[in-house]
Amino acid sequence: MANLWSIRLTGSGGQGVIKGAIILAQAALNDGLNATQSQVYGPEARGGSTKSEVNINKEEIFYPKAEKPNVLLSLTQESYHKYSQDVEANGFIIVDDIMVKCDPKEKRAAKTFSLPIVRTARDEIQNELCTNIVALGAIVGITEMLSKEAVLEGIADNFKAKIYAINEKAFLAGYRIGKEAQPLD
Amino acid sequence: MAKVKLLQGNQACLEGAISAGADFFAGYPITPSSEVAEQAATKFPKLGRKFMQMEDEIASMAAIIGASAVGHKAFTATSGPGFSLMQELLGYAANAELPLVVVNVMRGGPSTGLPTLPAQGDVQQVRWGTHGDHSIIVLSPYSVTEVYYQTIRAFNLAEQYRTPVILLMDEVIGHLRERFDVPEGYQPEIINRKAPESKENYLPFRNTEDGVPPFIALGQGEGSRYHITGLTHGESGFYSSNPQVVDQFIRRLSSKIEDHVDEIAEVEECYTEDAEILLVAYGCSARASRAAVEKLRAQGQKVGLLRLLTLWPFPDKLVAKHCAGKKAVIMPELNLGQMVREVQRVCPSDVPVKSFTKIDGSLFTPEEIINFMKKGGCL
Repeated sequence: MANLWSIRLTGSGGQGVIKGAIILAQAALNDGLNATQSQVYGPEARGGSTKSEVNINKEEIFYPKAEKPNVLLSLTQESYHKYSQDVEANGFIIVDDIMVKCDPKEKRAAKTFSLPIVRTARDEIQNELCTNIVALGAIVGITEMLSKEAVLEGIADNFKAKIYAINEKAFLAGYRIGKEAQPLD
Repeated sequence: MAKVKLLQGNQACLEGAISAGADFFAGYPITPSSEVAEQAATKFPKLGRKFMQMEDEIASMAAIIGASAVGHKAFTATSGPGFSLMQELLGYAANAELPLVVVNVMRGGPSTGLPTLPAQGDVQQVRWGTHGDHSIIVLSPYSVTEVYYQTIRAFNLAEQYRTPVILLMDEVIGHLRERFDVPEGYQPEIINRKAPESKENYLPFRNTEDGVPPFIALGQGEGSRYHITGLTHGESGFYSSNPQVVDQFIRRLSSKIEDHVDEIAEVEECYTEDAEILLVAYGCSARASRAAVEKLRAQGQKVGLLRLLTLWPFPDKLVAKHCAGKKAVIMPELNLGQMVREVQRVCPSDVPVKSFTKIDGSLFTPEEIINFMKKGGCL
């Protein structure tokens, strides 16, 4: 059976896209679904391109990679160029508005949302390390793929108690942005 | 109800080792196996078990050989470059008949190759990488939950047959996170190495009927002073070049495993019963193959999958049985066609066996497997 959601999170090493994917997969299990999470990254400790994929399905998932993603998060220009054309026509492309410039001449079939993800982490949450969690909030806000509660539980599952509060705030800020977001023309 | 846990293949491996009673880990972290060492470093000390970070993979093997000789359930974890360094001492362990488990999470090679990307290029090295005739057991799990059970099985088989066992994963399976489906409080069956009936006149390499000599931990109490060597030896453990002794010993090293292939080797059958086309696969390639089979079955195509859970000893009879009468057998592997040789060796000669290879550092997609079958005129 086709996956309900096939999500590709992309960016640069250190932006937390793998951690974000782990939280999303745990959240799917928390919501009673099946999930797989896989990743591709370079040998560098920081920098270099990073890609992590999550499949969500009611049934057992055999193929652990995203064959036809219906959600793409892009936190770098490079990853936007590389992956944005793979997204299914009825899917969602979510990019950071300072890291990625979407050329209006290069129209993608999927709806594209250009959102202040890094800016929200930096200015509102005052910690750029929360970029990935703001992004998760935006993804869930736009797609409603999982319940807010399941993702917050996934965040609690993956962070020490003392940094839960700031990540909860980051998620809710991202969620609000996602809820209010309008796709680019 | 206990929480549904998302776990990584490498983490499940350590959980399996804990359940199996492993109490000694020595290793040198290397991508994509590092999480096994990381988890052992975190969890073993708290459980009163030993974790040692060694200076390299040769020392890691030496340490677990020593630990096994004095009666511990010992293991290490590595990947291609480290596994290459372990080959000499892997032969020592086979020769000295010391139970241990080596976890090898395969990455692209040769040499340092592709540290973070998957491959299945070590499937012959696990069997033949060390010199000299011997047999070995190699298990190949394909899901996070299965990694847990197969790790336990690896320790049990090592103990039962007094042999090194390789738990062979690939980057995809080692790094994959998914539902960990082991019941809370699960208690596995544990096998410990067989002890002699009496310590009197103990022969550490006695030729017994089942080929597995009873074991007393070296230096642990009376009757336990004996000789261990990498040299070819007789029942006493001392060097021998007596042709009869040598012949018997080397044949026993192989036959103690090969004669029990029916008990050791496991396969999983998926839609094999009425299949006209059979895929044979293992590890991450089996994940892509299974997805391809599900898609084709939904279209009414009679395609099946025979999944190898045990690569060595190779299940000749089981594979031959399943290949018989098929229109074609197809084997996708992330190497240039290594295990397909074994399939070709045992497959009835009237059944064509096709090798589908990929070595670009990425996993097959189900579509690629389906397209290969279409191009080859199988569909």
